[in-house]
Amino acid sequence: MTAEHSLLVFPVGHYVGERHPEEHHVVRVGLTHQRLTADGFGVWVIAHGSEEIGKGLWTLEAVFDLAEAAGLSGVPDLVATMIESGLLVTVAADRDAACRFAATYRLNPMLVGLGNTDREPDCYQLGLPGLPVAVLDRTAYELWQWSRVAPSLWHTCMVREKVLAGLGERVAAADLVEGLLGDLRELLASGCAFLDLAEQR
Amino acid sequence: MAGAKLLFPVGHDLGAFHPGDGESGPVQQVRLGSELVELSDSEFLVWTLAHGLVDDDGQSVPITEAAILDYADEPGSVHSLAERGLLVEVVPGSPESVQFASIHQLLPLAMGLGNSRDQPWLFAVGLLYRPLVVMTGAMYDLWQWAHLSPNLWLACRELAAVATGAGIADPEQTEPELVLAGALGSLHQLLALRVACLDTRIEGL
Repeated sequence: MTAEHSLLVFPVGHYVGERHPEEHHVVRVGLTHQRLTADGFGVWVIAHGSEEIGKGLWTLEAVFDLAEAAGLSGVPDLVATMIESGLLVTVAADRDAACRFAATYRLNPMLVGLGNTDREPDCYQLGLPGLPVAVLDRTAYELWQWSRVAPSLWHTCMVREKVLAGLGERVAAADLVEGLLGDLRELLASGCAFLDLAEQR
Repeated sequence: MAGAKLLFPVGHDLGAFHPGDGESGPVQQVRLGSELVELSDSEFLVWTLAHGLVDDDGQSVPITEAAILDYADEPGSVHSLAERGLLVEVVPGSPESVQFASIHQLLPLAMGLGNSRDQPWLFAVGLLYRPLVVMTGAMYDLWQWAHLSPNLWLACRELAAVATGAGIADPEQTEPELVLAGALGSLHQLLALRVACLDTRIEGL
């Protein structure tokens, strides 16, 4: 395994479907439509992560392994092309890299809230009416709930810093990014939100 | 070209919040712009009905105040929702509809699934591998791009300019007022399935 393989990977963009008769997939990133082959789309989907890992780390190595197991071909080249075109972004496992990532991207929510329950008030269900999709804890839910009004993920970290300060807890925004990336992974893997460029609106 | 007064719900549905304190009952929450607002049960019923209704034959019913009151006799809730900006009455094609579109945004809440070999003129929206609603290419374009514009009216103007630049001659695609009127006329089918929602315009986003 190379050092590159240990990088975290995140998919960027809003999936806007297949196009026929051209026979390709389209993902919108910022103001641009990016085209993907069927195998490229498979890699992009795999980069979202797996619901089994929850808030855990999802690396390029995991993407290579799963893509290979799925029988996708030319995965290293596909990944390189998608990183270059902005459909995938890699993040080194250090605080500075995570802060740069958080400042560059924003999150857009999908689906609607289906509420929590008296029995499990910290479990929030998302989905569509009659069609539950995911259950989130409070921090992931709040990231989803307010993402529309947050111009970047970094903005959310600063808000979290202020909220904690109000509760008498002093934690710098930069020290909150790692936790936010865990919430983000959960939202992406469950299809409840998508990443987009912070500066393209 | 103006038609019936239609009601549109505004805000992102967050669901029923249970405080979990063993005392307070649940309250329906909606995000409206940067505000979290709470709806009473009757307000939530009216707000939900305003997303879309079908008649006994399964056909969509135009969402007018009268149609909603037929289902739920709650005129007080219609009034309180309108006062809080959660319900807006609009006549598609009217000058007021442009004002409405200038202070609201249309947000996608699902994935676009694209078209198909069999029906390349229709585009689906839903969950991955699970289409929920189909629409024309023009409406699909508005659905996917509108949230990147500062407001729905600018989104209609931009789509009309793109259509004009592409050499399209159909005024329903090249005249911003007609693009907006067409969108408002078919918007409830997206709202009903929650694949999109209207929101108040937020400066800078």
